[in-house]
Amino acid sequence: MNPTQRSHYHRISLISFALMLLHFPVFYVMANFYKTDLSVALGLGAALMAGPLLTFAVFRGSRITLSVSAFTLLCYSALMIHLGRGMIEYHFHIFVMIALLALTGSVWPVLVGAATAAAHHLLFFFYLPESIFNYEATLGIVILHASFVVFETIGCTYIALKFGKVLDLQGTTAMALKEIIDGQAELSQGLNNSSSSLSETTQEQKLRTQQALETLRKIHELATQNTQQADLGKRKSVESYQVLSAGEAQLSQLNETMGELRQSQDEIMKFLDGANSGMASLVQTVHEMAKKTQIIHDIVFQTKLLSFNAAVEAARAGQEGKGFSVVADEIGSLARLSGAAAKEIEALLSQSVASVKKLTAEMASHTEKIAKETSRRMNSSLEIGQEVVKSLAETVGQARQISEVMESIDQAAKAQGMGVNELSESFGRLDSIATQAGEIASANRDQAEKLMQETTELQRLAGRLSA
Amino acid sequence: MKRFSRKFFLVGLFVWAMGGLYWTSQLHASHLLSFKNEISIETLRNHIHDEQSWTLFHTFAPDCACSRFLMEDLLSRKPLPDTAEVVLSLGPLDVADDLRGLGYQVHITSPEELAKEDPSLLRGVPFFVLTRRSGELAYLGGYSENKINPHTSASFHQLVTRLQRGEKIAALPVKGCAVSESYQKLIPKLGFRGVFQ
Repeated sequence: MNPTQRSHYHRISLISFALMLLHFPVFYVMANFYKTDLSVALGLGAALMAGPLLTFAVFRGSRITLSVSAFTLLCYSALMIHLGRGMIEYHFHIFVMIALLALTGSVWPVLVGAATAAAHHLLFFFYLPESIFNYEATLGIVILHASFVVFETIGCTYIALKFGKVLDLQGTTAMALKEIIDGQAELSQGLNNSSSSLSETTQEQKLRTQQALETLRKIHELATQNTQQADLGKRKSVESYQVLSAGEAQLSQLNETMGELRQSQDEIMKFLDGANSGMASLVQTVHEMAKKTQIIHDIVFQTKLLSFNAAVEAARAGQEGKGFSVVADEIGSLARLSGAAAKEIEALLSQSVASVKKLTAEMASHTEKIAKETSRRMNSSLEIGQEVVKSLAETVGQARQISEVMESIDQAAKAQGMGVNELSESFGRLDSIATQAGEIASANRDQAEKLMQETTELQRLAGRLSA
Repeated sequence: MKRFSRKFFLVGLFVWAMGGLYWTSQLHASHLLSFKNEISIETLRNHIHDEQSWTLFHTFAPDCACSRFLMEDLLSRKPLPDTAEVVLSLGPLDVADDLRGLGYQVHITSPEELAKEDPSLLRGVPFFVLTRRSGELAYLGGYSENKINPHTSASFHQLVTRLQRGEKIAALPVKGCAVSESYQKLIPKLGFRGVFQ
């Protein structure tokens, strides 16, 4: 028994109870109208109703309850016939009840109902035959009388059987449909949830994309600035490189100049050495001159001796020699003068030699000192210069590397800018796609909601089908 | 335990069904019971007041509902023209004076008096007997095809008219309340005694 049948049996049981209860006012009216016993009508009616109610409590929604209800309803037929003082019209209650029992969808209530009616008649046929008809009927008459009920019962049984099969099919269909609908409901719910999630995700994605686009725009600005800065840095590094290269060249030139200076210094030193030598030669020359001055002194002395000899000879020559004596005197004076001059020269020479010697010594000393200092400084300068050149060379190398790096940075920044542009375009497309996805998600959600509405409608229909 | 309870319940249900079937069957059938009264016309003649007119004997039982319906019909009119209507009540009748006041003859009698030969021949009421002026029996039977009820109570007027015209009409079954001892004994077994009184 499927739920639809059970539900139907349950509902029909309740309807049959309602139908039984509806008999009571009818019984009441009939008992009063036909002057039959009201207490029997109500008391027996209630007693007859107790059976189905108790059965319903025990066998809820079963054919047993319906069968017992069928029995009671057919007993109500008898009760109604009694209350109607046996009017033949109230016998139709039997046919109506049997016909209504076909609505149970089960053959058992119909058969029980028919059996109850038959039992009523048969019981009295065998017990009091004349009670059934106006005459003492034969068994054939009884069968003829009962045949109508039998035919109705056959028809109603067929209807109940078919109705039961319809109920069974309806229940089976409803269950299958319910499973399908439940699945569809779950699916549509899931689809709706997914669509909602997708829509929310799309909205979130769109928002994030827009935020990313905004961020990318800022990155693009920063990249542009980076590119500009990198370009500027590259130019500056190139300039630095050029400046450093120029400085390196100048330093090299300076080094060369220093080298030349060194050479010049060497030459100066050589020159100074030469000068010292010259001074020595000068001293030697002065010495030679001093020696020559001795010669002058000797000459002066000789001259003086000659002048004295001339004056002696002039004195001896007397008058004649007087003139000569004067010359001799003059020569003697010249000799003295020459001697004096020679002495002065000698003195001067001595003084000069001393001065020269001193000067030469000092000069040599200073020169050596200066030369040494100059040489040391030159060497130091050269070393420094070489170090500077070396450092500068390294700096230049680094500047070149920096320049290359800056070039790379510049290219990278440009590439980055292009990448950011492409990324922005991609995000723009992504935003567009997100918008489309959002529209699709929204459409999906609408479809899912529509599907849910249709599912609800289907559930309602399935509920009606299973009801 | 549960199985036992269910079995017990089913047994109880079966007993209930049999009881219900028994009692309702009696109720159902009793109203269709047709009484065959075989009383003597001579007995009735003792109650004839006017031998020169048609005489219509109404045989009632005071506690019989069918009889009460017919008495109401009598109380609602006067005796039929050229017909002496006699009410034979099988027991004291509370409306006897009213009936007399309307022109009916009322005789309180008993089954034994009415069927002196064999009281068992008087099986049920109500029934009516119509005798001609000559005293011949024109009709002895029930008032209707069915048990008397408010719908059928007055239908016998036409029947009487037709009989007075000379038509021969088969006696209708007597359906109502048991009078004879045999039925009195049988009917209480069939159902509620009071129902039939």
